[in-house]
Amino acid sequence: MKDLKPIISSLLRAKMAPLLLILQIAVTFTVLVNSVYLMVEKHADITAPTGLSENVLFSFQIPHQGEEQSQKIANMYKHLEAIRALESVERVSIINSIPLSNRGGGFDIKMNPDDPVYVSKAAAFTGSYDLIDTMGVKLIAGESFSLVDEEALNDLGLGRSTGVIISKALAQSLFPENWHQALGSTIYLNQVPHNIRGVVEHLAGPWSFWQYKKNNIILPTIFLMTDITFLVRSHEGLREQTMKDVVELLMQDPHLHIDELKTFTEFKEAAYQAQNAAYTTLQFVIVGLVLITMLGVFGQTRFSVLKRRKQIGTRRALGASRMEIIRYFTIENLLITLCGATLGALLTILANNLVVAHLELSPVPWPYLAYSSAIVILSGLIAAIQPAINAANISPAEATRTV
Amino acid sequence: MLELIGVSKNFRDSDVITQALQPIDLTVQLGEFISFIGPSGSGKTTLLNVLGLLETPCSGDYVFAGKNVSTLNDKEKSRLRNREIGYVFQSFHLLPDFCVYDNIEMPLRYSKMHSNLRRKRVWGLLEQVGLSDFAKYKPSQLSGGQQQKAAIARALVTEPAVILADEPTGNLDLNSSAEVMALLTTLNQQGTTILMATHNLDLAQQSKRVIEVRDGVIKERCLVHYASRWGIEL
Ligand SMILES: Nc1ncnc2c1ncn2[C@@H]1O[C@H](COP(=O)(O)OP(=O)(O)OP(=O)(O)O)[C@@H](O)[C@H]1O
Ligand SMILES: [Mg+2]
Repeated sequence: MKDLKPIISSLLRAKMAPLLLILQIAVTFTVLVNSVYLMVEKHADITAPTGLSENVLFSFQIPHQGEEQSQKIANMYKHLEAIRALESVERVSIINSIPLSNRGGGFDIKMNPDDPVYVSKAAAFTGSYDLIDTMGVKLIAGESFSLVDEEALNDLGLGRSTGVIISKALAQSLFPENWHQALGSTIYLNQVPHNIRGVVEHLAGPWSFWQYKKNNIILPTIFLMTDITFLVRSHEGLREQTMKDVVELLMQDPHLHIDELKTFTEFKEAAYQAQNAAYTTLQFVIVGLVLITMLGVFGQTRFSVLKRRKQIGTRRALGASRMEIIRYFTIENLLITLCGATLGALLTILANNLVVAHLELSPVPWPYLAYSSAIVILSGLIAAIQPAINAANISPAEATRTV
Repeated sequence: MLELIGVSKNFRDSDVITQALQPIDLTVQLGEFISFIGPSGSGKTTLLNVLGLLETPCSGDYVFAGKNVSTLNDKEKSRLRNREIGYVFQSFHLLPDFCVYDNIEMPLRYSKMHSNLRRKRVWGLLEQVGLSDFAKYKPSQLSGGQQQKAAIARALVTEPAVILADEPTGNLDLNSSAEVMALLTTLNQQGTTILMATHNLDLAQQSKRVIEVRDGVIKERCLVHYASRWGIEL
């Protein structure tokens, strides 16, 4: 650190150029912190577990317009049986809507029917009793539904007393201190009490953008809508084959229509299209910011080396080794980026306080300041390597050259 | 002892090659005071730079105090420059961001000497060159003569065996020139080897040995030779 004092004094003498660079780094830093934060959040969103066996699931709809209800039910079970009998099929269930399909229904959840406000909100998935197994969702507490719980109705069957299975996220929002307490508790959906009989680890909701997308409820009622949605689980690696088999099977009936034949992967991709685009954009923004920082540092260091060729030659003549010259410029550059990062961090904290006070948004967490500082300092160091090596290569004879 | 054996130096600027030094043999004994004289562009600075390890020769061997310089790496050469050689430049080259004291101390920082010892050395030299009252001044606040004295103090601070002075009085008035020459002469009397390049015959006269450099070739001269040739009364 013996060089620190003169480095600071020569930076102070140069005033404008280093100051501009410090400001540039500070502003870049502020944008960088927020971009990194957003990017990590998007990434967490995109990669969040859906809880489903994504690679073996697909679904399709069979419209039942103008059919008698009893006819509808009979046909549905006939189709289920036939599909289940296919060799490539592992399981098949009826479901009201596919997770991440952008279609579904949500409820206010209350712990007491008389509470004026809801505790949380959740979406409901309802269908065959073995829906959980077909989806591949993991039950982590309580018990699953059995065949006797299953019934086909013209609504969600909220009046039934089969109990419900909820996602762990919902259990946690109902019992923040210990989600296990959810098991056996009663919640109210539209004023109707429901006993919680099981908890599943993860289950993605119908809408990827919904604030409560991790809060989900499963009921064992087959909701007889105009279009019945089938969720098929193929054996591992056989999804394409299974889809073909199922279509071939159903097409044997010339009166039958199949709609919306889609893999779960397609639903997921469509649901996260916007987030994926934002994620990619943020990556470019971050790379751009890093490049801007590096360009600034590179330019400033080059300029400062060029301006001081004679001084560097003199130092070399007085006994400075190449390494000592490189160290000098590295320290100088570190000082500038540190000042920039510190100023940027102050700006970010200031902006954070304003945001929290006036907009009720969540502030950028502390670690992101550290990540961004690391990015800025590292890119600064890398950008200074070439000019610093150039400086070290200046001949000591430079000191004796006239002009 | 410094020994140049068939040392040459040329510069290549794109496609122009300048032969600054023809292959030269030269032996310098410790304690000598040598003046290199010759017209502008004759190769004096180049020769001093080679002798001072500031420039690498293109051919030949340079043996510095028993070590063949061409076998040394950057760190070892930097160390030699730092410990064994002191430089005095025509335009001083004090570092503008440092005060006089820090400038003089600089070579000791590179030699990693203990700070107490450093302080003693630097103050002693400030005294010797008469700049004690200017220790905290920046170079720009000093006269040319004072700056050159500070530069000489800087050259002396590691107690080098050899001082190289490239036209040390080139930018100075007569009085300051005389003072600087007196300093160099005293140092030589105390045992320091001094190698000086100059245009000034009067100054060259004060050294024990004069070498003429012309088109990159050296010739030993006695002053009488010059005196008669240029019509100077000795
Ligand atoms: N770095 C360099 N690149 C190219 N040519 C050089 C370089 N340094 C010196 N020369 C050339 O080498 C020759 C000798 O130059 P040098 O500086 O040694 O002369 P000098 O005797 O010191 O002159 P002066 O009395 O003007 O200082 C000149 O022709 C000069 O142009
Ligand atoms: Mg010269």
